[in-house]
Parts: sequence; structure tokens; C-alpha cells
Amino acid sequence: MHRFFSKIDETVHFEKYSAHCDIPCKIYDPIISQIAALSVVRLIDIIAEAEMDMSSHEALNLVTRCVARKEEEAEKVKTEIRTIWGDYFKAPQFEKYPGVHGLVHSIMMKASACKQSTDRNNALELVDLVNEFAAAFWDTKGVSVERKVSPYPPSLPTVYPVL
Amino acid sequence: MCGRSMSPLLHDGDYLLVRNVLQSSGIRDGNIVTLKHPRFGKIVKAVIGVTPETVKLTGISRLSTPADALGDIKKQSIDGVGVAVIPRSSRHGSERAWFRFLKNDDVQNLLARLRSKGPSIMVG
Repeated sequence: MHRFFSKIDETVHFEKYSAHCDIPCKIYDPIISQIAALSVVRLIDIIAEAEMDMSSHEALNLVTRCVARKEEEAEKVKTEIRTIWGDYFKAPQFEKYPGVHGLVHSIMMKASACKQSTDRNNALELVDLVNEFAAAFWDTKGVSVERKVSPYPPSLPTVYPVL
Repeated sequence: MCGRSMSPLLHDGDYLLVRNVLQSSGIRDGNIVTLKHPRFGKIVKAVIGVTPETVKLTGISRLSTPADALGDIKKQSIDGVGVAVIPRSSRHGSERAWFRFLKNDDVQNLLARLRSKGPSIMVG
């Protein structure tokens, strides 16, 4: 019987209704992506501060680790933002922030740029974009935000929810 | 339908046959209904409370969105009342036969039974 309906479904495309278990999936917070974006800036700073002889194994080890970690943190930004945009944002949130699609796409592009280079300006712009996304996210939940300097390097203005 | 919040009554991939809601006065406790929720989109839930204007809904699994989060739903939002289920995987002789009518009493009894046994068996 189910196979029979599946065949019809392939042609007619029945409407799909969801019975999601929302409790485990409801925990969304852009702070993970914000910390990851700050980490990208910090890693670029460490690379710049190194100023070591790249022929030494120690220097190679440090820079290699920083570059690898920068890659991971930038990817984390992309994954976390995509998850919130794809899973949390729905019609009411899109109506409130119709520009969020463009913002998310800009974050994806900027995070990729951060992977490709050690240009600090790219990382600073990534932090700004992710902060903008965080402010929009909290606003959709009716939570006000404040901008405070992160209490750790690279000590940049960061959007935090006022809870 | 998709998702696990209606487990063990409905399972991911099951087909739910519904009838149109011609008169909202016909919605009863224990009905399985489909609706377009302003926040959660197109969802399927069970009715656990009815007023002249609104209904209160719940999932069946403990992991489902709590009834309070779903809010009071206007009856006009409900677009279908479940009549029968065509399970994705049928096993003759088991409770998941190839076709099963949905009865209000069965749904209410299931909810009462699962609630009384606590959360450990409720994971959908």
C-alpha cells in the first residue's frame, strides 16, 4: 500500500507535513560563529607577530598550525551561520529581515576569503558581518543586544544579547 | 509526513490520509490534524484541547515541541483531520499494519499511557 502511494506521490507530489522534534534542534546561538570569526582575526595576528625565520622547524610548526586552525575556524563560521539561516530562519524571520540571504552569502564569501589569505581586513569584515547577523538573529527572538569589546584578544567590538 | 515528534503513532515517511475541515466545530480532542503554523510551518500534531475558537496541540513524543510553544491555534488554521495512516514499513500481524484508521480514543489513550510512564520510553 505504501509503495502504491509512493508511486502516486512521485507524480502528484503530496504536501509534506512535519512532525519535528524541536527541543534538541531549538538551541541556536550565533556566539559560536562570532567566536570563530574573532579566532580568525587572532590567528592572522599570531601569524603576523611571528616574524620568525621560516627555515626553523619551530616557526614552520607554529605557522602551519595557525593556518590550519584558521581554515577550521573560518569553516566553522560558515557551518554555524548556514545552520541558523537554514534551520531557524523561516517565513516570519525572512519577512522581518529580507536582506538576510544576501548577508549570509556575504559571510560565506568573506569566510572563504579569510581561508585564502592572511589579510586582516578580510577577517575584520567577517567579524562585522557575523555581528550584523547576530544582531538580526537576536532581534527575531525579541532579545536586545549590546556591542562590547570582546574580553580577550583580538579585543574587537562584538554583539552580545542582553539576557 | 516527516519527523519523529508523533512517534510511536506516526513515523517518518508514513502517509497520512486526511479529510478537509468543513466545519471547525467538528474538531475533537484526540484528532490528528494538519495545519500551517505561523512559526513552525506545515506541521502535524494531536489535539488535546478545544475551545469554540481555538485548539491546543501537542506532539506525542516527549521530544516534540511543547504545547505551550505551539500556542493556541485558531481553528481556521487547521486544514485537515487525519483519518488513516499508511505506514512506511508494514509488518502484518504487528501494530504497524499496511493501513490503520486513526481513532480519537486510541490517540487519547496513547497520550495518557505514554505520559504516565515518563520520559524514558518517549524518545521518538
